Amino acid sequence: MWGTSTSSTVTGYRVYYGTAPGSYFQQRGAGVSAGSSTAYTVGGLAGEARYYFAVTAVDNAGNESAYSTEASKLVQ
Amino acid sequence: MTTTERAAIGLNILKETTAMTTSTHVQAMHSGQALHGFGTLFRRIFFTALAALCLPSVASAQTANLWIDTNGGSCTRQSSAATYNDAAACASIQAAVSACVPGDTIRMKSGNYGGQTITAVKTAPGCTVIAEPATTTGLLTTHGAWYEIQNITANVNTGWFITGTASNITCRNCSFSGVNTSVFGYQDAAVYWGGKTSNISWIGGSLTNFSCSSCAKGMAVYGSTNMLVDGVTFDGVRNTGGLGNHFEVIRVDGNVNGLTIRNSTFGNNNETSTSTIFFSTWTGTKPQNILFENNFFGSPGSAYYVFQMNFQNLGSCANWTFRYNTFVPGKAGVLIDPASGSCSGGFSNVIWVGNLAPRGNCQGTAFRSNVWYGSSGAACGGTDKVVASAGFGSDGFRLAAGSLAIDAGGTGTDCIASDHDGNARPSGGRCDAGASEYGAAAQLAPPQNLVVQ
Repeated sequence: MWGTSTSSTVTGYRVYYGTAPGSYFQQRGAGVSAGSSTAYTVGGLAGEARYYFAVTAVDNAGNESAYSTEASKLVQ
Repeated sequence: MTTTERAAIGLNILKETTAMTTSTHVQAMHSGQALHGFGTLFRRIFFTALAALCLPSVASAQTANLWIDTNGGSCTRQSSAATYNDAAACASIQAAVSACVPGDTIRMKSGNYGGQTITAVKTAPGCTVIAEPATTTGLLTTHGAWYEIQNITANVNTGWFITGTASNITCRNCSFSGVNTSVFGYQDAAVYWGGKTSNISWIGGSLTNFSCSSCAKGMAVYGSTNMLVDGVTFDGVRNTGGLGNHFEVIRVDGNVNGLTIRNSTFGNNNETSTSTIFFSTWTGTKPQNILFENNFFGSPGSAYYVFQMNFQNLGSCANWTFRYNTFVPGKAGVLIDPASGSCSGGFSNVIWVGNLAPRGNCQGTAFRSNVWYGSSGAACGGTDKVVASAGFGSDGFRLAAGSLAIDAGGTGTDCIASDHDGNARPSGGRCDAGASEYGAAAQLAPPQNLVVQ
């Protein structure tokens, strides 16, 4: 869950996650689409690993913001 | 027994344990909404939801024609993609690719696998292997033809090795890190593309925190045709053993014909006595048809250059394009080794367009719409611009508001369609110089206050 971008042109969000800080499974631009929602459920994560998450905002021209501040969670 | 973990950003994490074969579901729900189904036991960790959200529950059990898991099975292909079946799984990528039919999807269950060697030769459109999150392997050796591997992380005896006549192989979002204890003979690199390979792509992923006591480069591209490195991060690539007299991040050597490196980032590496990108003719003729585009180049550390050409007086340097790259100041502010013998025949069709680089780098034949920054040195081309400061933002690569590189690049065919981040160019009347376009994307505020629950 995240707070909305302050940019008025934002139309959606993309979710990125990986097992190393700043390195995500998804290539930049190919994050998991969360639509216009401000929350997303990621499935299929194996246990006993720490996952790092970031979210970007996308506008109607296809531009993508920088990553949000990263958050992590140890999945056990 | 299979365990599937779900992390819900902002909602919850659920651990699902089943005694039977299970599948992965993706669901969005209210905080506190119950999950039911299939005799599963859910252990929940609830967190405070910051906002109520209600989305339809979506069952998206993943299916594939073949599955790979750590204990293997009969390796039976399903003509119609099916959910995971432990007994029918394959024990290796090689077994699965061997059994696939072009167009198939193969899924790889999370887990720690050993080294993977693929020799299967398929035909177009090939087979696609998709690894679940947290799938790790040892050394990845990809021979054969026509397959794609996605989301592999190799962090034990790390590396990626291709040689022979391998072709049409893609590794997407593949990451390598850690210590390499394998040495491919003189090829001594974490990632080696050699032989007479062709149409090899590395799209997304990284080579990070890599150390090797007997390597001379992070990545070697030798004798290959139509190679692509796109969106890859090279960070913390270093030699710890002092082998040889130089260590570079990427070495491009003889007979390479067609290499594109774009949208990639080089930083915090430990090049020594050479360059970030080292071109040589040690094993053949000069590399040709080379394109560098939209890359971020950090300082080459204790090395001398970003690019060094060691062609031993074999004539001119020809048919290389460097466009819309960003260079931070290097050790000597030199991008290309200008030493005698490197390009003894001069430069032919070596084009620089729209780059943002330190002054004093006029090695080439054509310069258009570059921005050169620093306190001394001339512009190289008539449409180039010289400024005192690049005006980098806080990350050291992207432009800050007011940078004189904004709208200082080219137009028309001298402006390219997208930038390092995939954002459309131009955002103004002209492309911005360098790899990152300041504009709509740069001004697009990222989400805030991300919470993982």
